[in-house]
Amino acid sequence: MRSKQHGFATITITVLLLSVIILVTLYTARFKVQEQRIMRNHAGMQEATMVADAALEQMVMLVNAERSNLDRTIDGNIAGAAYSATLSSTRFNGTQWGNVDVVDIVLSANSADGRAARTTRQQVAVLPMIRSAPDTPVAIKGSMNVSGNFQVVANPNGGGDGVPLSIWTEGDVDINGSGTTCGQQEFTQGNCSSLPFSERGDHGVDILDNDPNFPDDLLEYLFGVSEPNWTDLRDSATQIVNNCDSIGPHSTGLIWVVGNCAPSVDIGSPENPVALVIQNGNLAINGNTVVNGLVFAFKTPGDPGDYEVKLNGGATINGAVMANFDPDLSNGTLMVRYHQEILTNLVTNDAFKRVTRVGGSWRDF
Amino acid sequence: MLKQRGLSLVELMITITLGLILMAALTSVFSHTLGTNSRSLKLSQLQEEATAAMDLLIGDLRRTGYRANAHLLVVDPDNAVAGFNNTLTVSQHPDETANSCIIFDYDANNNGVHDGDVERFGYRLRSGQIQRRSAGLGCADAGWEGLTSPDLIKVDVLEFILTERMLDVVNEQVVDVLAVVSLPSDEEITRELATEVVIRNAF
Repeated sequence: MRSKQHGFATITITVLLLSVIILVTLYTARFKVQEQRIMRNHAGMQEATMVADAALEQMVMLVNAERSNLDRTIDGNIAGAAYSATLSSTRFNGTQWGNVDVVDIVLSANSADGRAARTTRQQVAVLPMIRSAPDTPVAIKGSMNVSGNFQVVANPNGGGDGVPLSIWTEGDVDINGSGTTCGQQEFTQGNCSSLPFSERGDHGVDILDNDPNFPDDLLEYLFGVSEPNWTDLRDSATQIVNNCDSIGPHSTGLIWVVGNCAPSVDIGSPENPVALVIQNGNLAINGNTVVNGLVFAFKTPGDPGDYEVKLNGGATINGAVMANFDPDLSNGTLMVRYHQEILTNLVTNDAFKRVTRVGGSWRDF
Repeated sequence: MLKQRGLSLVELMITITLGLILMAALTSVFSHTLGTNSRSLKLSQLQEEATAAMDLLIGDLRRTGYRANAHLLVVDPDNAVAGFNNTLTVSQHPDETANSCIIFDYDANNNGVHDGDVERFGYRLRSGQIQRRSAGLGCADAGWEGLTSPDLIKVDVLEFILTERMLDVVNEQVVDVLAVVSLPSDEEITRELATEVVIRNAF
């Protein structure tokens, strides 16, 4: 049987065109697969970068949480993506900030699928808030005119080896009332009044007044923050309060009091003392209340007020008292006992360290 | 024996018409498929080229202000390198849109010294191309190296917006980078890439 055959040309061309289309589509598909691989790698890289960033923030927080534990390795994961951080610290003694620990953080992070890895490095510095322990129980930028009672127990080596130091002022020290300064042993034995270093009309070597070398900026001398920038120090305080009602024996760290402070319970302990900064306010301690640590009466630049520092009826400051102005000490009984251990703890305790990132230290190469 | 008859004219015309319609449809599918494939490829190229350029730019930008021995700034400021402080500057070439050029420095060889022009970096928009700074040239100077290929990708917008913020007593700079790219052959096809870059080494 023979039949007329139609459409040979049509089918040939159709097949030809279809095969061209198939080839072109296959090529595109291959290209697209390649593109998808590139995109997946790119996404992995971005994920690893984000994990590294987040983990680095965590590390800074961990250093902040344990400010003495500065050499360790930490492994963890964020949303399934693993990271590993190595912290190693270097101690720099006697810098402008005191003894500083610089912590090198080396952080390796992976993406969740493990394809991408990223290593970043950052340094953080652990600085003491108080640059070095004060070596005098009383330091006043101004004069000291005491008409009431006072007892100051000297730092036995404050003026050099074996030279006691009890009061350091920029201006004149005038003892009018029944005040005495004495040594640690005399105080412990209750002989502060009978065996004094200095008393009314008798300045001993332990009183260093009219000192031309008294620092212009007591805040900077102590905390390394200049007076015009005092808000920086306030912002780094452990606690900012408007009076001293909420602080007690378990309080520690830098406590910034805005206004008057009249505590009725002990503040701080010898192991965990406080650095109490009283900004533009009166300090009045009554009864047998004890403050362990440093009390800094601070008048902000330009403030016109006159403020008092008044201790009554057996109230004691174990540590040191400082003021960057002439405080009114006229009435009351000022009792300050220099305490080496407490003042050392003010510098070395974790609560008195702050953690800052070292600017310019971040790198990913 | 079967009697053979030819096609009538009407039959022939119908056959030819049907054939032509089929061919036309097929050709249109063919050309459409080819066109789609070609656009798809170009789009991929555009996307990849733009992403690669942005990655390079952003990775570089994040390093701004890095210097080895940065801890000297804290422990021994007198001996710290100051050359990498505050180097980030946003401006533009006089013939381009505002904020389309960014320049910055970092310690690329990690030796704690500013080695001059080799440690000066920058990116800018110039004649539809992203260019990379070389030899410490300024934003208005000629001689920057092209980073994108003008045949594949046309950069319509490149913009850097610099903002500063304080975070834990550390000054942090943030640069918002915006790029809009299009195909030179088909300007209808555009891609917009926007990223926020946090500069951790800011001063």
